[in-house]
Amino acid sequence: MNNSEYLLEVRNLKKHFPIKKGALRRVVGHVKAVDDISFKIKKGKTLGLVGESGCGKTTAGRTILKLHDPTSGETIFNGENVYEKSRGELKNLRTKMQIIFQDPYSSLNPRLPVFELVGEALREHKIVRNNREMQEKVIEIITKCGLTKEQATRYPHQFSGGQRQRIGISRALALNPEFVVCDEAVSALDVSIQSQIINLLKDMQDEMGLSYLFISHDLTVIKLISDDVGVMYLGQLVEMGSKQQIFTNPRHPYTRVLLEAAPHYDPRNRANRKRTLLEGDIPSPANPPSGCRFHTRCIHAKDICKEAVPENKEIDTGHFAMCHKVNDLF
Amino acid sequence: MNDGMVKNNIILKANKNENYFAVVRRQFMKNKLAVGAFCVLGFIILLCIFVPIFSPYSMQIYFAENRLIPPSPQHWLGTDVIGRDLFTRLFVGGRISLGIGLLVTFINTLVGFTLGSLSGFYGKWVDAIIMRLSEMISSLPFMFTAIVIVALFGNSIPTLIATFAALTWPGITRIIRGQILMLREAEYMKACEALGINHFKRITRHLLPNLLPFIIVYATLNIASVILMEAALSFLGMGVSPPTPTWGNLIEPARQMVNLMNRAWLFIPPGIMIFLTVMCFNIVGDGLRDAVDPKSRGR
Amino acid sequence: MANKLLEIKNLKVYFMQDGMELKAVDDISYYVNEGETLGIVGESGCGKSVSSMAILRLLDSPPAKYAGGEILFEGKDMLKISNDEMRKVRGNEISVIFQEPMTSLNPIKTVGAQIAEAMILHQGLSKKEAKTEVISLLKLVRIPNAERIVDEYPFTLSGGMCQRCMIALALACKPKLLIADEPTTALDVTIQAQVLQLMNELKSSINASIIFITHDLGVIAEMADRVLVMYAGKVVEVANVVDIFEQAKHPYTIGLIRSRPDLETDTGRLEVISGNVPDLNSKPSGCPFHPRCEKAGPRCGKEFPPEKVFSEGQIVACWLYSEGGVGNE
Repeated sequence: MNNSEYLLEVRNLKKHFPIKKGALRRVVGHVKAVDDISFKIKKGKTLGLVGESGCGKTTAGRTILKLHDPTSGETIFNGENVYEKSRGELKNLRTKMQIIFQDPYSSLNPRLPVFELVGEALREHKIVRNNREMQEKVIEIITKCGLTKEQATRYPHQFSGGQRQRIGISRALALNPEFVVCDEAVSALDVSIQSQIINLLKDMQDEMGLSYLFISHDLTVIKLISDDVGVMYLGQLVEMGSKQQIFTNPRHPYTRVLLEAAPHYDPRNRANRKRTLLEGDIPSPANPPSGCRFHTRCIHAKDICKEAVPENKEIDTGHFAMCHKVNDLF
Repeated sequence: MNDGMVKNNIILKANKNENYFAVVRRQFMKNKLAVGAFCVLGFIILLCIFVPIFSPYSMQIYFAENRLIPPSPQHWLGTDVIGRDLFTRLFVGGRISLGIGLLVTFINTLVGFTLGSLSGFYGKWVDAIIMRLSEMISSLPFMFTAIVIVALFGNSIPTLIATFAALTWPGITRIIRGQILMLREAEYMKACEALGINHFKRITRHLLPNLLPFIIVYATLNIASVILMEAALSFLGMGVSPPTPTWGNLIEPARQMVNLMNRAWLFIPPGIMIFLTVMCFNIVGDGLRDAVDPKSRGR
Repeated sequence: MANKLLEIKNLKVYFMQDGMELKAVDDISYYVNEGETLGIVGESGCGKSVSSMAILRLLDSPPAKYAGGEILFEGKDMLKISNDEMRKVRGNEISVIFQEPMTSLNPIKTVGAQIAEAMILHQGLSKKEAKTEVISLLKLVRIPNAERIVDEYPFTLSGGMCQRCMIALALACKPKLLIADEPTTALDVTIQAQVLQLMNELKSSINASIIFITHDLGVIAEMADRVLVMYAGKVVEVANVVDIFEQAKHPYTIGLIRSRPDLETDTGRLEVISGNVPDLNSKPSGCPFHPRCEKAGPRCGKEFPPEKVFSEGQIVACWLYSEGGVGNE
């Protein structure tokens, strides 16, 4: 066991999906979904990963759990490299690293009642010895997650979206993990339900000492739950820092744009709000722009941005940004 | 510990929470047309089983003096050219026709399931070989190929069953392959992987139960089309050979002008049976499809 | 006072399912003034989309049933006019922008042809005239290279571009009323910001009224002049946008606003509305919000409260503000 303050460390992780074409299924290119990202997550803390669709945040989360095989790079969990584990070791590791999915409908097998959905893995990992123990354990966890024990025999279609997400959370937490990837865990829910689930996730973190990788496109949610924040754009982490650093002193132009584009609940002053609007659309990750990947949409872009890939500069302790102009702009 | 909770045993009691199949059944029962068709099918099958057992006539015994009697109290559906009772023969024929349909579908489902799973799970070259083979078979003209095979190997019932099965397996194989490819990517399958559930259980507990409804629906529709194929082949005289009756060779007399013009009782009842059975199977199949499709069930 | 362009009175839209009537829209009334943007906000199943699709009779019937009420557009009852008359209104006087830009455009026709179609049909333009009109319209919604894009097929365009094309299509015949049903929900934040900005700018130049339907209070804060809050088929509160955010009165509106995280304040923990969003087939009696309402009393489960009108047109349907209160325990 390691005693460092970090539970998980991702080093130079890459995940490229091949694009196959033609009758012979020849590889004609790669979608660089995750392209060389590194970060660390502290024990009991939350790293928020924010970005728009296609930026690779979901792929990153799944590759860390080895639900996808990485193209290169390593993920160190508790001092051990996840990708060097044998099948048996990986299976044991699964009890320590869990995931909560976005869609509460497609992530639950419609054929199984809550008991089975939540309890199956307990039996698989021999955490419980018999059905009775499994039922006890399932009831314990689902009541913590805000369901009642009577609901344990029900099937997914008998629940609403928010309740289904509670089942998904119970399923992930039943194994008593240390690390949970929350992949857009609240995005599909109604506004009034979102806040319930966010509070639940925070409560469980306090109670079980969990570390989260919280993936979301919604900055307001990220701000609420994260300790540290990483901003992704086209497979790269363009800015990374503590919540304070990212939200009060954003240094990458993309982070600025995201913050300005996020909704503000201030109709009185909406006419005077300063906001930079991005031109154009997100480029395809199969064919990312040269140099700084953001240069095609960046209002501050200069020639150097088209030619050279910016290095990841440390601006402040723990605050990194990938931008040539990081010290000149803001 | 939580003994109070376990003691009161709420959790072990079966209650009215329905599982998936109960929901499908309830949904199916709402479709009055499909339920009606299901009952008609049941009735036809019962007749096919029991009429030949209790009939005073044998399907083989014939009396030359009873040739071509129109429907009468002794012979409800009349007699044929050599004096056999048509009511009896109609339901003996039903046994053969339905039997061929069921057996061919059973083989198809088995073959389709095996090949479709191999194709869907392994992918790569296994998938390529199976899919190219199924494309080749589906591009053969059915009637022509069937007639050639029957001409080469004779028209015994086993040969016919083998022929139909050999020519119709690609359909279900493709459906199963497609479903597996889709279900494999379902998020709950990813969730199982993340939970460390082993491969075998992922397939048997999570994938197959979700595949089953599609297989049942397809099989029901497949029975109908096999019955039609058999009837077409037998009508042309290339199917099951007399004296064994099938619905197909029972309508064969309609090929002769004299029968078509004057002796409607010879071919109309088997024609109606084919029509009714095929239609009922199709309606039941459609009803099942609506019942298992989550989209038609709200969410 | 401004003129009312659209007035809905006691509208009821039910869905028939398994012999049961599901009251998707249950006796609601509202109006839209000329030139104003009315935001309709609510959670899934609250009837916000249904109520506005009903304006153009776009709901499949059955299962939908227009069970009562009037929809007066410039004095004509949209529920009573013939199908021919309705076709003249659709896309011409009232047009709709849907949530999914990709699936709302026909994939086998060019963008230009689809937009031109409405102009040729309703305004009797020739093909050539229509094409020049389409290009200027695409420029208006800030599509770069409009001359080229006009001959492109929708699948070659990104989601944001498609939504701009949808807006161009909706504006093609200079409608008096534009219904925007979650037009930015499927888009990324940066693209959403672009589209909202565009719609805000167009608002002044086209001089149309807009009904803007969304679940997102942030979008409401950006877009709406007046806001209608719906819950389980009922209108619970109507007020101008500033009042909604600064002095909401209905417990549901208050809860909704408090439970939203935002970027300015640094709250440790969110306040929540407990319970679940009700299904249509298990809708609570009386005020449908009462099982989730902290302030509910015995009366709330029995009767739906009458509307209480406050100053500046704020209307609230809640027993807290009506005579007799919520009743005693």
